[in-house]
Amino acid sequence: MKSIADINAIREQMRSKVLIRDNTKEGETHVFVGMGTLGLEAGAVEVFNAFVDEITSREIKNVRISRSGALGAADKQPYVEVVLPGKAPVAYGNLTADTVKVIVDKHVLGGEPVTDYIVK
Amino acid sequence: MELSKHMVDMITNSIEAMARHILVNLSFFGDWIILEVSDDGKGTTTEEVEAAMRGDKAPRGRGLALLKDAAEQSGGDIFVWSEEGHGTGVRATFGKDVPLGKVGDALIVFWQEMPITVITLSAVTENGAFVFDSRLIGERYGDPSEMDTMVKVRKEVNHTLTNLFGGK
Repeated sequence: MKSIADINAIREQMRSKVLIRDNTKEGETHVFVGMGTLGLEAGAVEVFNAFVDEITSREIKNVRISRSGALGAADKQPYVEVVLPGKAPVAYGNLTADTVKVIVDKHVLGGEPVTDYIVK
Repeated sequence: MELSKHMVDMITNSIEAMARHILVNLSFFGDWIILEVSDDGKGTTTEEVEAAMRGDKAPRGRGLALLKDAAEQSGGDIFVWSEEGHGTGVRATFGKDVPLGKVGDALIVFWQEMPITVITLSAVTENGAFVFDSRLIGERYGDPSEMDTMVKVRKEVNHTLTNLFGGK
């Protein structure tokens, strides 16, 4: 018989497999929005929805927007990582709905990270 | 913070506790709004719950303390039930003046999780009732892998909940 700890370990393994399979579509750009409590207070839900609005209203394909756990320092919220296919993640901080537009234009569509909003 | 954002924080806690099913209830009767999130995640001990409510887990895991403060400041309270290996339930009662926020905007934050974790949202007020079940997205709204379907869900939930809550 398996203990609850065993079952939980299996569940966690399966879950990471599912997530990996789900998240690695060929040629897809992935946007992760940090949704820790600090992010929420700073407007992470608005930033998430601003990405959704930009991507759908302009009918941009092959972009996935995901929630992530807490990301980035307290003074950099809302915090987002943009991962273009085959590229290293680029981290942006202190985003607003307006800066999201610029990032979608220049980085997601144009392939050039927007240095003004990049955080280390 | 609006109720919808507390809801995001509570659902996040459930997902981090490896829940397979998350039930969200929102109700509004008389002077009170009740936000309740229960899950079948790994649960925790009474000591851990108390520490989280005191804010001892800050800066991470500050959400429950924040929820408690917000509920109490509005004249309401919070009740947490949790048992290791079984799950957790959090019920927060708020005074009616606390803004609801956009529940649809908050719900779609978990779109990528919905194929793995079942999320059910129900709302009941004097004006009627509404239920969203993530298992029925395909049937009711369209292809879950299309972002347009996400937008459709967001619009319907925002619109319906705003009406149910009398434009709050």
